[in-house]
Amino acid sequence: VTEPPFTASREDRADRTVLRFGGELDATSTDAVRATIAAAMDQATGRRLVLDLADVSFLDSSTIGTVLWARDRSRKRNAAVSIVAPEGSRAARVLQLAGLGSVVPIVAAADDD
Amino acid sequence: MAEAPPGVVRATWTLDRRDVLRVVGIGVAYYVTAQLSLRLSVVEENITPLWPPTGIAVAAMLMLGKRVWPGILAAAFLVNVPINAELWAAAATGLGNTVAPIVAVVLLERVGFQRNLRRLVDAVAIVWTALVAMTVSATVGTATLLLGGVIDGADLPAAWSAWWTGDAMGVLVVAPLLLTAPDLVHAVTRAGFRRRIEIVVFLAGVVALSLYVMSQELELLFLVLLAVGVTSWRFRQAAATPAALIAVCAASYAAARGLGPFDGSVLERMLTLQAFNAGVALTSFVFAAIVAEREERARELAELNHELENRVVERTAELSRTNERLAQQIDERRATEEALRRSERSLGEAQAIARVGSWEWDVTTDAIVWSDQMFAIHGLRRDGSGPTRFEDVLTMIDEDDAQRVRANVKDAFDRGDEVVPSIQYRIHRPDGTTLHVLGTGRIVREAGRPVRMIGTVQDLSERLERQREHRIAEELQLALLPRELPTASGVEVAAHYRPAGSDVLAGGDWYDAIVLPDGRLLASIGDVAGHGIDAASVMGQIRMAVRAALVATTEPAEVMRRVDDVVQRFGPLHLSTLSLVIVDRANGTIEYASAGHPPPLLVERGVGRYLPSSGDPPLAATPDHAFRSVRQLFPAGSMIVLFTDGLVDRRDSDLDAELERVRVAAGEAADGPPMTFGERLVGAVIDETPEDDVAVLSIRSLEVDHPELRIELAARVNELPSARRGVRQWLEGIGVGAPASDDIVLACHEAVTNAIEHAGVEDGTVIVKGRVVRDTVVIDVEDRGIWRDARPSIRGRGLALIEAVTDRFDLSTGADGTRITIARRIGRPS
Repeated sequence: VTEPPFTASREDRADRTVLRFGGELDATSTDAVRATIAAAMDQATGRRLVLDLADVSFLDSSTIGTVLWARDRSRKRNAAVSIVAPEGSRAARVLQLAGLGSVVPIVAAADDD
Repeated sequence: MAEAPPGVVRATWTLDRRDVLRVVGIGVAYYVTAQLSLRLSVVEENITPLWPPTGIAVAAMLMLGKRVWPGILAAAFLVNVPINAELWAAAATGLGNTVAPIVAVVLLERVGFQRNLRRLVDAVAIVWTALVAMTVSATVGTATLLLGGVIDGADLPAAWSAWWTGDAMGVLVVAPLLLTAPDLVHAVTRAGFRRRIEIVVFLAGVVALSLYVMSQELELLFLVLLAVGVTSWRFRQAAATPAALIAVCAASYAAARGLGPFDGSVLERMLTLQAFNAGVALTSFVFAAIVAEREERARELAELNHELENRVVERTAELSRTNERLAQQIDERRATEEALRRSERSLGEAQAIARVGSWEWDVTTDAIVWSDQMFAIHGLRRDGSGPTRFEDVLTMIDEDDAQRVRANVKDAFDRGDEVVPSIQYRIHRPDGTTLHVLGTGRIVREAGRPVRMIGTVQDLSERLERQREHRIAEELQLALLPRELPTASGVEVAAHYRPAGSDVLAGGDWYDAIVLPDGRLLASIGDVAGHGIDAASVMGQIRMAVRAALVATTEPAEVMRRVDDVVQRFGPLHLSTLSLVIVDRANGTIEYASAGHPPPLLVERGVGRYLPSSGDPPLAATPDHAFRSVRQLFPAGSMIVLFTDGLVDRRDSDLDAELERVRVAAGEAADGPPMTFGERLVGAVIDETPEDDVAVLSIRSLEVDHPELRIELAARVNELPSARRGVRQWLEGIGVGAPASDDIVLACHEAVTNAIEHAGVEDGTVIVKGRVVRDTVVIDVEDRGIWRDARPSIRGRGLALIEAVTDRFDLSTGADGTRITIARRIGRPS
C-alpha cells in the first residue's frame, strides 16, 4: 500500500472554481484527475475553472493530455480554463517544454485572471 | 492540271474578275478564229475542213480549266447565228461545239494526260480523244443543218465527215500547238543562236514545201509529211506543232479551194485532206513524243552510267584506302614484333633478377621448352642435356616432392581447372645442392582437352631466408611488447601498434607500462632505428634497462640517466629514443623525461597540446648527459598521448607540420571509446600503409567512479512512481540535483511509460540502467516485450518532452526487446 500519489481540493468562488492539485500526476492518476475536473465542471456551469498546479511535484505528458482535455471540455460548455503555474514551479517548466503557453492561459496565482 | 469542281466554277465566274476576263478572252479568240476559218469552208459555206476554234476550246479548257465553257458557248452561238436560219439552230450548234471539247477534256483527264505531250501515251491520247469527242459536235451540227433545211439528206455523210474531221483536225493541230507553246517559246528564246536559225529555216522549209506541193497537180503530199517529220525529229514538240499547223493550214486551204492535189469531189477532197492531216498529226507530235521519250530514256541511261562511274571511282578510292591501312597494319605488326623481341629480352633479364624461370609443355607431343632462367635455377646449361619430356623434369625434383607435383598437375587436369595450384618443392641440382622452388602452372585447353601447359618456377631460397628473419624479428618484437596493459586505479591505459608495410622488416618501436608499488604508473615508449633482429634485440635491452633502473629510483631523469649509461657501455650503435612518464593520479600530475623523443601530448576536452620538451638528446648520443625531469598537471578527464616517430617522420614532409597534424587529430580522436583511441589517431594521420612502424600509448585520467543504476520493474503503470524515485535517488547519489535531476527523471519516466504502453506482454519487464560517462548521464530503458506496433516508436508528447530535456536520445531494437537511450550532460562549469 502506497500513499496516494496526488491530492486534490476544490474551492468554489463567486466567479470561478479552483481545483488545487498536489503530489505527482502521471498515467496512474489520469482517470481520477479527469473525474475530479469533470465533476467540478458539471457543478459549476459557466464559471471559470482554475487548475492550480503550483504544488504539483511531478507531471508528465499524460498531464499535458489532461490539461488539453479539460480545455476542450470547457470550451464545449462555453467556460474558460486557466492553469496556475508560478515561475520556477515544476508545472511551469513542463508546460513550457510542451509548448502549452500559447494554448492555455497560464497564470501565477489562482486570483489572477 | 488544276481543276476546280463544278460548284466552284459557278461561284468563280461571277466573282473572280480574272476568270471573267479569261472567259471573255477565250470567247473572243474563238469567235475571231472561227470567222477566219469559215473562209475555208468546203460545204455550203459553213462546214470547214479545219476548225481551229475547237482546238482553242480544248487547249483553253486544259490550261485554264473547264470553267471557260461559257465563253466558248457564247462565241460558238454568235458564230452560228448568221449561218443558221433560226436561233434555235444556232444555239444547238453552239451547244454541240461546246460539249465536244468538254467531252475531250474529260476523256483526257481520265487517262492522266500531261500537257507537255512529251510522252507517247499523251500523243496517242490526244489523237484518239479528238477523233472520239468530235463525233458529238459533228453529229449535233449536221443534224441541225439537216433539220433546218440547210442541207438535204444526200449531203449528210459529206457534211458529217467534213464537220468531224474539221473539228478533230482543229483539235489535233491547234491544241498541241497551244499546249506546247511554252516549249516553243523556250526553244526560241533560250536555245543558242544557231539552233534558233535552224528552227526558223526548218519551219520556213515546211512553209515553202507546203506552198509548192499545194500548187502542183502531182501527188507530192508525202514530201510535206517528210518535212514535218524531219522537223519534229530535229526539234520535237517545240517545232513539231508549228510545222503541223503550217502543213495542215496549207492543205486545208488547198482542199477548200480544190487546188493542187485536191481536185476531186468534195468527199474525195475531204478523204485526202483527212488522210493527210492524220499523217501530219502522227508525224508531228506523235513522232516528237516518241523521240522525246527516247531521249528521256537516253538521258536516264546516261545518268545511270554517270552514277556507275562515280561508284567505281568511290570503290577504287576505298580499295586504295584499305591498301594503305593494310600497309600500315603490316608496319605496326613489324613494330609489335620488334617490341615483342625487346620485351622478351627484358623478360629474360627480369627473370634473372627475380630468379623466376618460365616453361611451356606441349601436352600432345610431350615437348618441354625452358627459358634461360629455368636452366640457371636447375643448375644446367643450354647444351641439349636439359629435359625434353615431362618425366625428365620430374626426375630432377626431390623424390617425395615429385609425387606431389605429379598429383598436383594430374588433379588440375582431372578437375578441368585452368589454374594449377602453386606448389612448393625441392630440386636437386647436378652440383649436389638442393633448392626450394615455387612452381605455378596454367593449363591451355582446346575443346576442353588440355593441349599445353605454361608456368613458372621461382627460386625461393632468398625469399625463404628473408621470411625467416622477418618472422623472428616480428616474434621477438611482439614478445617484447606487453601482452596486457596494467589497470591502475583512476587511469585507463591503451596502446595501438601498427607495423610497417609487409615487405619491410619489423621495426624497433616499443612501449611498456608498469604499475609501481606506490600505485603510480610508469609509461615508457621508445624507438630503435633500424629493422630486423638487431633492432628488436636492442629494444629488448633498453626495455629491461628501464625496468632494472626502477628498482633503484622512480625519478624519470634518473631512470633515463641509468638507461643511457647501460646503452653507452654495452649497446650496439643504434640510434635510440625514449620517453618515460610517471603518472600520479592521486596528485593529478605527471613527471616525465625524454631522450630525443617527441614530448607528451595532453588532450583535454577535445583539444590537444604538446607539453614542454626537456630538450634532451637520444640515448648514448652524448657521454654522461644530464637528463632533466619535467612535472605537469594531469587533470581528471584528460589524456596523455605518447607516440613513436612513425606517426610524424615521413618523407616529403616537415616535422613541425606533421606534429601539428597529430595534435589536431588527437583532439578529434579523443571523442570515442578510449581503448581504440590509438587506432583512430593512426587512421586519421596516416591514410596509407605506414612506411615505418607506429606505436601509440594513451593514458586517460578517469573521472571519480560513479555507481551504476539498475532498476527492474513490471511493465505496469502503477510501477511508475517507484521507478521515478529510484532514478531520483541514484541521481542524488552521484551529485546530480534539481533542476537537472527533475528533467532527467521526466525523460526517464516518459521512456518507461512508452515501454509499458508498447511492450505488449502482460508480465513484461522494463529495465532502467544508468551510468555516468565523463560529464554525461546515460540511461537505457529496455523492455523485454513484443511491441504491439510493427515498428517500435515513441509517441508525440512523450517524445517531445524527452527531446526537450536531453542532449541525445536513441531508439534501437534488439533481438529480445527495445531500448531507448537518453543522455544528458551534467557538465561542470569550465
